[in-house]
Amino acid sequence: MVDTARICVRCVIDATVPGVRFDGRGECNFCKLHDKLDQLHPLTPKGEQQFKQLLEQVRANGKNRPYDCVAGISGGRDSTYTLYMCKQWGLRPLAVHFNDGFGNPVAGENMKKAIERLKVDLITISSDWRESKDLKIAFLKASTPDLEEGTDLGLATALYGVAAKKGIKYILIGQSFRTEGVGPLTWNYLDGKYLRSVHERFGSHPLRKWRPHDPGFNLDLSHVFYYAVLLRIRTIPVLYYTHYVRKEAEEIIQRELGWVNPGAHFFDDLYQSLMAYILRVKFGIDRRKVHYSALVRSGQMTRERAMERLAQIYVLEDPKVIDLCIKRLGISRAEFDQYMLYPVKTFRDYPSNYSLIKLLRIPIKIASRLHLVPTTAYEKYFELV
Amino acid sequence: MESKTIKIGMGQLLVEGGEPQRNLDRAADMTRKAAEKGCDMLLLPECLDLGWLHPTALTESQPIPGPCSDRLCEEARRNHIYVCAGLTERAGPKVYNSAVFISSTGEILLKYRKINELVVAHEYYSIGTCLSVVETPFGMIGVSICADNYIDGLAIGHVLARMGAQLILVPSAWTVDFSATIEGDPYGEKWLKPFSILARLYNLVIVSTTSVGVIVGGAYEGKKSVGQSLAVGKDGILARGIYNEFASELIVADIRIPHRPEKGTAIGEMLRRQGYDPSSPL
Repeated sequence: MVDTARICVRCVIDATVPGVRFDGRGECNFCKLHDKLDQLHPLTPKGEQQFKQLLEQVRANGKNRPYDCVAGISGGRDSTYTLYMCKQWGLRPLAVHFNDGFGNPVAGENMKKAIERLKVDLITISSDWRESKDLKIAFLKASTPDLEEGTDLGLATALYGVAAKKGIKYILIGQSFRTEGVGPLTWNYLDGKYLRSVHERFGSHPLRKWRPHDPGFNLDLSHVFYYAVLLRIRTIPVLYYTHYVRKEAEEIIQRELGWVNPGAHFFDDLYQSLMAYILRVKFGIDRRKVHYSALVRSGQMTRERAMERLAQIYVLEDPKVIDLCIKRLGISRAEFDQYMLYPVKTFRDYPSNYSLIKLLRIPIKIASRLHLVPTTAYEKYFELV
Repeated sequence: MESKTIKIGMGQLLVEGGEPQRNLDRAADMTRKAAEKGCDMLLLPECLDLGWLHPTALTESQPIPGPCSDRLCEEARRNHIYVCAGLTERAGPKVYNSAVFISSTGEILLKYRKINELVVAHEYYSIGTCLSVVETPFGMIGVSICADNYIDGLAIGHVLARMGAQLILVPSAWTVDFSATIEGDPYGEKWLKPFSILARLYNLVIVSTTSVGVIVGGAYEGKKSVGQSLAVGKDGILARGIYNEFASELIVADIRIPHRPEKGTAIGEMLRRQGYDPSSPL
């Protein structure tokens, strides 16, 4: 029997988090992953040197072109700071925003100010609302925690599509294992085949076909191969290489870019409000355990403070915004409540590439280290299961 | 008679479909900003309360005067600024795509109901039956809405010009396909051409402000509004908004209000001198 009250002695990951294992000292495997990533991306003079070389590669690749890299931006803290730092590092980024109709207007204002003040070009890739809405409803019906599968995948393809169209080889994103951690696979499983299978079963509006510069909601393994291997587009989580302290970053972008806090982590996307509610009430998932644990490990939050916060319902669950999301999907509250009662499932209940991915363990590890696929993809798919 | 120059704010507002409170809050914020920048007048988009073509038009629209127009009047009065804005109007069993022109003391000077409504919108909005202009300290002001200025609907603009409009205000919700990006030209000649025709023929100024944002309900799902609001005079473009699809923007333009001495049949003579052929009214 699993002792669900058990909690890591170092962070706030507890036994309810899928894939967690505790060692003899009571420390969890998520902490071990943190330490491993910390060794791979050390904040030492040697690590700094590696990062300088990486930036030099990015700059060299962009020579005689208008842009060195694509930088994803949402108007949230991490991506805004990343764009700011790109300019500090002397890069010439092309900012790319993915708009799926749920953007927080506060984040929109942040993007506008950042683009103006940093004098950066921005391309916004909008999804077809009929597709993105249909996908959101399909995943509500599929009854898995991957409620933002469409948005996550659409963001990835938007970045790839623009990079491919412009001949840019580097995509810089504002993720940091030191502040966000890496979540378990069953909480967020990203796979184009999985998206398709859920959509085929529960969707009603056809999804447009893949085109290299307009991938839409298509990111199957063949498409990843096209962008990452054939075009050799690399995705770099640049904050992995820097001493990224959220509070300091926030102060900098407030001062330099007039950035305004949207209210909570992830609240650059209004749908996250509904998602947080569903995850907590229906799935018993609180993603803050992963995020706060990361902050605890990197010394940016005390363990006690994290525990205190976890005892409260997350401010992200704003009832007004939850109502807005349901209304925007064009469904009634009664329909939504009905979906909440559907039996809980995971991605394993639907066709996906997971079996194939498991066979590709070694190539995925190599691709992760070369930034051909997200840096933590290997750990997420094989160690946090 | 001397021409007057006024400062017009083109309030390119983010409009979220079906969210009147949030949209009106943004409109109030925009009114304050326009006043702070010294604007005499602020032009806001079409159906800024519920969004153009959003299904809530049938269930949440309000009368004019009513809560939404009252809010705008209050903001106009508080900030001492003229405001023109599009609202969804409930009138008994009917709903209209309307616009109000409000004085700086918060009084509705003119209400207009859109005439050249798109066929896809007929299930929501009834067709307006009146056109009018109003005299202000800045000159004679006329109001039309968005597709009233389609090249094949330009008779509406001709009538406003014949009524003496020196400035035509046009709340709009211009839409483009979801796939449009900043790298393309979203409208081509679609709006510039009819605006230019009216401005040149009658020596007037026409200012149109569009909303921004993704269309999240109704028959135009799959489209979005991307800004690039437009002010046109007889010599060409006077001001243009930025391309944006997720954030509001205030564009401030100093606009000279042209003097238009011709009235009644004298307008016809003026048009003939310009080579205008009344048998080909475009």
